[in-house]
Amino acid sequence: MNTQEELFTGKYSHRRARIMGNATYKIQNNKGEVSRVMTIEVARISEAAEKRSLDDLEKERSWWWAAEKKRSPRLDYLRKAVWKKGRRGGEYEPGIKVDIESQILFTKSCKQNENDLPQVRRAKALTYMMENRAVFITDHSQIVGTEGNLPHTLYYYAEAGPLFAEEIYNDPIIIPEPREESLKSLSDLMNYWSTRHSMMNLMRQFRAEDIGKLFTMALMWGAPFGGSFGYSGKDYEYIHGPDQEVGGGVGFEETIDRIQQKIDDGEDKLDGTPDSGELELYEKLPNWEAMQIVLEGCINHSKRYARLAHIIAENFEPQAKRQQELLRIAETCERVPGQPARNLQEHLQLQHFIQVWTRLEDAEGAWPTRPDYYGWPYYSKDVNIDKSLTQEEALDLVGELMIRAYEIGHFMPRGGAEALQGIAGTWVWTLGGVNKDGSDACNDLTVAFLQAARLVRVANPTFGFRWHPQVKDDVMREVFECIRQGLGYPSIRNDPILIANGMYWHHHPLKEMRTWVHQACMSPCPTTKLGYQPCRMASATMNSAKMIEYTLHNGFDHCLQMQMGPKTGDARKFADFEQLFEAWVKQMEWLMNFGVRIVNKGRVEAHKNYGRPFLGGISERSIESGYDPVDPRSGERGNSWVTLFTWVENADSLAAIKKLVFDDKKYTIDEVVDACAKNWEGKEEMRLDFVKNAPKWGNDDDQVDQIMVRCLREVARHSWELKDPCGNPWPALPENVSGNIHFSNLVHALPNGRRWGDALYDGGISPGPGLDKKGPTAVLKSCGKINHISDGRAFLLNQRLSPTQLAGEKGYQLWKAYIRTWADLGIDHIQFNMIDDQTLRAAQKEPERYQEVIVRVAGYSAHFVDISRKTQDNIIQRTIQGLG
Amino acid sequence: MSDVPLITQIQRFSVNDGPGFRTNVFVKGCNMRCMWCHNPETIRPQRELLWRSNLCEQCGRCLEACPRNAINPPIDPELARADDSSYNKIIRSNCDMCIKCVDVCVYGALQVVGSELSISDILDEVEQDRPFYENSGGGMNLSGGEPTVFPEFTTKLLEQARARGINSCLDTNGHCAPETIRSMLQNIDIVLYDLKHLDCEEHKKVTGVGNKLVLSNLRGLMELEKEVWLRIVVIPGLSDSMEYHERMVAFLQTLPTKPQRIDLLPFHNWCEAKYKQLGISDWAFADFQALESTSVDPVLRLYQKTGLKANIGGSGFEDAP
Repeated sequence: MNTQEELFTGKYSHRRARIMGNATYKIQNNKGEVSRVMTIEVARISEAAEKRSLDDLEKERSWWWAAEKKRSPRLDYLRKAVWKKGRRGGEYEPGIKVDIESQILFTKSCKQNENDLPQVRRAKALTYMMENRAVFITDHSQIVGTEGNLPHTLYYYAEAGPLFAEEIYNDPIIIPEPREESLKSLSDLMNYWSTRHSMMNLMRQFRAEDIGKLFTMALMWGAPFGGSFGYSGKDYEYIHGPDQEVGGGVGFEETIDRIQQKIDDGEDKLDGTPDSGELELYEKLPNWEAMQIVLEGCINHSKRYARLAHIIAENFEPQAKRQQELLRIAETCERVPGQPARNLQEHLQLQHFIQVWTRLEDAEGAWPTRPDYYGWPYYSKDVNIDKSLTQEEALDLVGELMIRAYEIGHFMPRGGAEALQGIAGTWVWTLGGVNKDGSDACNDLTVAFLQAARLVRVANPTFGFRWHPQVKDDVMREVFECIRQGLGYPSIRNDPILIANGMYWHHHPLKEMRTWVHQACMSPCPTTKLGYQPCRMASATMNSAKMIEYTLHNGFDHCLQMQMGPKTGDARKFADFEQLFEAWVKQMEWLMNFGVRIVNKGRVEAHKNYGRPFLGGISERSIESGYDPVDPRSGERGNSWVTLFTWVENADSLAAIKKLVFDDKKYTIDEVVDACAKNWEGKEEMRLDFVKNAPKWGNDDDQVDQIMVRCLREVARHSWELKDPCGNPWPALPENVSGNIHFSNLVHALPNGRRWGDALYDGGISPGPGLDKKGPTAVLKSCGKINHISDGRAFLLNQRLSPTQLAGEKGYQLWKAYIRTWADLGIDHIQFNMIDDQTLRAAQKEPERYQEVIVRVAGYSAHFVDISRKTQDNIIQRTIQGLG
Repeated sequence: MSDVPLITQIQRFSVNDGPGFRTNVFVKGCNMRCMWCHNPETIRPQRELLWRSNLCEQCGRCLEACPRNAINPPIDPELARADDSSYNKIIRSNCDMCIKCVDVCVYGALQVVGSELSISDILDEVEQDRPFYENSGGGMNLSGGEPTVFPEFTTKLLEQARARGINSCLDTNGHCAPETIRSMLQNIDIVLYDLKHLDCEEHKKVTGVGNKLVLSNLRGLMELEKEVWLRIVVIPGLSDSMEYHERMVAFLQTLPTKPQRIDLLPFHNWCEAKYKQLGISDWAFADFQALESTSVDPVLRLYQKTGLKANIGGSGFEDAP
C-alpha cells in the first residue's frame, strides 16, 4: 500500500485562509493496523463572529457565523474537517485526489476471477475491495464510512473505461503523488477496462444513427451504458421493516440465510426432473451467489471499522469520554448491518452504510431516503422513552449524518459537473409526509433534521418536505426557518397531489404510494418491494427546447449543422398557428421517442453488463425472484419519467409566434424563421419585440398559459403511448438542474427572443428570469392551470422571495398563507431562494467572504461562490419579487 | 378633473397595505402635494411620459419620430445613465403627448403612465388573485393618488367589488367632504387613513392643504367605529421628533374610539428614480436617505406604551394568528 501511504504527504495548508485548528483522521490498512494518522488544518470561528452576539449575527443574516456559534463543538469540528467533493466552477478544490487504491483492488480481483460469470465476478471484486482498502475514522466522529478510501479522495469507476479515465488522467488537481506512479496505475486500469467496459458491449446493439445523434450531446443528458449515473430507489420497507419498529427490517445475516434457502431449493430443482422451469435457475443461482458474497463483504467491511475503533480507543485515545464513543462505534459496527439496529446510532449508521455501499457498486446521482420516517422508532425509544440520548446528543448524530453525506463524492467529468454546479449529486432527502394509514408522519426527528440542517449548513444533501394539510404549525415553522436562513431547502412538495400522481401514472397502491421518497430531484417513488425503481441513468432526460427549434427548421439543427429531427414541413409555409402546433407535436413525439428508445434498451441490457448484487441483496424482490434489481423481470412495477430540460421556452416561443405573427400579423412566419436561423443578426428591434411584447409564461396570462397547458396535454397523451420495459407509461417531468447552462450553446436562437448561447430559463415550469412581471401570486396562478396529477410526473418551480419581507413573525405568516394558496392551486412543488441580489453581487466580488451562501439552482442547492459566473448572473437576473 | 381616473398600476402581491395579500389599484390624480411623495406618477390626473435612462440605448428613433421637437438628440448612453447626469430625453414644454416616440422605442425606455380601464377590467384583474385573498384575509386596496377625488368612480368600484365578494381597503388622505367618504363606507372593510401632519399650518406647508377636513373626517370615522388603520408618516426633519409623536398620542386619545392599528411609515427615497423618469429634477427629498426602521423604534414604543397596536409598515401579516 505504498501508493496510499504517499497520498498523505500532500500539503494542505493552503486549503483555508483562516487556520487555527486541526482535524485528525486515523487510517487503517488492510493488515488491520493504524498505518497513518492524517492531520489537516481547518478554520476555527472567525474573530469577527466571535466578537459579535448571536442576536446581531442573526439580524445581519450572517447565518454561517451564527451557526458556528450555535452548534456543538463536535458538529463544528466535523463540519470543518469534511472535504468538499463538488467542483468549484470547473475545478476540484486543491488537495482533493482521486482514489486509485479502490480501483486497483477491484481490478486485481476481476483479473483473478476472469472465468466467473459477470455478476459473481463483480461481487467478488467489490468484496475484495471493501476488505482490503483503507478505512478511516475522523476524530470526534460517531458515524463512519465514505465513498473514497480517504477523507480527501474521490471515488471513481474504472469499469466505465475511458468515459471517466481520460479526464482524470488530464486533471490538473486530482492526481495523487507520486504523480508518475499514479499515472501509470491509471493507465494500467484504463488499458484493462477500455476493452471490457459495458459501453463497448452495449453500443454495438444500438442503431448507428441513434448513437450518432446521442453523442452530439445536444438531445439528451446521460447515457445508459453502465458506469454512468444511477438513480436507485430502495426497498426500505424490507431494509428497515414495514411497521416502524425498533429492530424491524432484515439484517444481512438473515438475508444471507434466506438466499441460501433459495439456492438450496434451486439446486434441488436442478437435481430433479427437467421441465424447462429449471432453465431460469442458471441465471438466478449466480445472482443469488453474488448477493451473498457482497452482503458478507459488507458485514466484514463494517467489522473493519469496529476493529479500527477498538485500536484507536486502546492505543491512541487518551480521553476516557472519547474512548467510550469509540467503543460505541465498535459495538455499532459489530451489530449492523449483520443484524437489525437496536438504537438510533446503529440505525443511522446502517442508513449511511447502505448509501456508501450502493455507491461503491455504482455511481449514484441521487440519495432517495426518508430518514425521519424510518428513524423515528429509534429516536423515540432513545430520546423520549429510554432517555439514553439527550436531544442535543441526538442532534449531533443527525447533524453528523448530513456531514457524512456531504463527505461523499466520486469523480465527475466536466460535462456532468457543469450541470451539477458545486455539488457531487442531487441528493434530496425526503422529510414529513403521511404514514401508510394517511395520518401525519412528522415527528421529533423531522424537527431534528430541520434544526440540524441549519447548524451544519451543507449544500448537499438537501431536503424535500412532503407538505399535507395536517402538518402542524411548529413543524412548518422549522421548515420556514431553513428557508428564511438562506439554505434554499427544503423544497415543498404537495403530498396529496403526488400520492395521486403515482397512483394515476404507475398504479402504485395508495398505501405504497404514501411511502414515497424523491427518487432523484423530483420524482416520487415508493419504498416498497415492487414500487421502488432502480434506474440506470437520469431517466430519459431531454433537451426539450429542441422541439420548437426543430419545428421552425424542419428538423434541421443549426447548432450542429445537420438534420436531426423529422421533416415536419417547411415552417415558412405554415398558414396558421394550428399547422405550426401540429408540427411541434410531431417534433415533441420524436424527441420523447428518441430518449425512451435509448433508455428502454439500456434498461433491459443493464443487468447483463453491470449488475447490482448489493442492491439486489437489500431488495426483497431480487432476493425472492433471483433476478438482478435492474432487470425488469425482477417484478418492478415501473416508475419511469421523461425529464424535460429547457421546457418553458416551448410555450413562450409558440405564444410569441401566435401573437406577433398569426394574431397581430406584425411579422410573417418567414421573417421569424429567418431571424432565428440567423441568430437574430441585424434584427435586434424585432428580437426585442419578441422579448417584450409577446406574452410570457408566469404572468397569469391565458394567451400563453393555455398554450403551455395544451403542450403538456399533448405530452401527457404521448406519455401513455410510450411504454417502459415494465409496460408502464413515461410521464414528463419538467426541471433543469443546471441543464439550462449546459445546453445554452446547444440550443439555437428561439422565437421567445433568446439568442444562441444565452442562458436558457432556469427550470421546470419557472418563468423566464425577469419575465415574471406580475409577481409571485401570478406565477402560482399560471402554474395552477397545469393539472399536477395527470399532466405529468412533477413540475419544478423556483420562486425567489426577498429576505427582508420574510423577517419575523410577519414573514412566517405571509409565507404560510402563500404556501396554503400554493397547495389549494394543486401545484406539486415549490422551492424558495431567499437571498437578495445585493448579497449575490457582493458574493461575486468577494467570494471569500460569502463561502457559505447557498442558493437554489433548479432542483438543488449549491454554494453560490462555487458556481460559474454565467450561472451567478442568471440567478441575479431573476426578478426579486415584491420588495418593499 | 374628469370623474373617471386613469390607473397607473394594478399591483398584485401587495403585502404592506392592509391584511393579507392585496391587489393595489392606483388611481392617477391627487389633491395633495406632499413634498416627500413616493408615487409622483400618481399626482397629476393626465397621462404622463416616462423615460428610463437605464433602458435607453440612445438610438435616436424617438428623435426622428417626434413631430414637435420635444426630444433631445442622443448622447453616450453611459453618460446619460450617470447618477449626476442632467440629460433628459424629453423636452416637456414642447411635448403634446402624441406618444409617437413611445411607439418607436424598442427598448421600452419611453413609456406612458396612466391607462383608461373600465371598472370591470379592474375588477377582473383584481379577482385573479382570489385564491390568495381567501387564505390571507386579503383583497383589493384602492389607493393612488387619492381615490376620493373621484367619488363616483370610487363608490362604484367599491360597490362592484363588494358585489363580487372582494374585501376592500380604501387608502385615503382624508381630504374630502365628509359625505363623500361616508357614502363609500358601507362597501369598505378597512380604511387605511393617512395622516401627513398633525398641525394645520405645517400640513398646509408640506402638502399644500390644511388638515381640518382630515382631522374631522378621522373623528367622524372613529365615531362610527369604522375599522381604521391609521398611517402616520415619519419624515426626517418634519415629523420624526419624539415631541411630535407625543402630541400625536395625545391627539389620538381625544378620538371617540381607537384606530385598530397605528402604522408608522418611515420615509424612504426608493422613488427617486421615478422623479427622474418624470423629468422632475428638483425633488425636495432627493438628498435624504431612507430611514432605518430601527431609528423609528423609540417612536414605535411610544405608541405601544399607550396601549395602541402599533407597527412599522402596513402589513397585516403582523397580526395574523
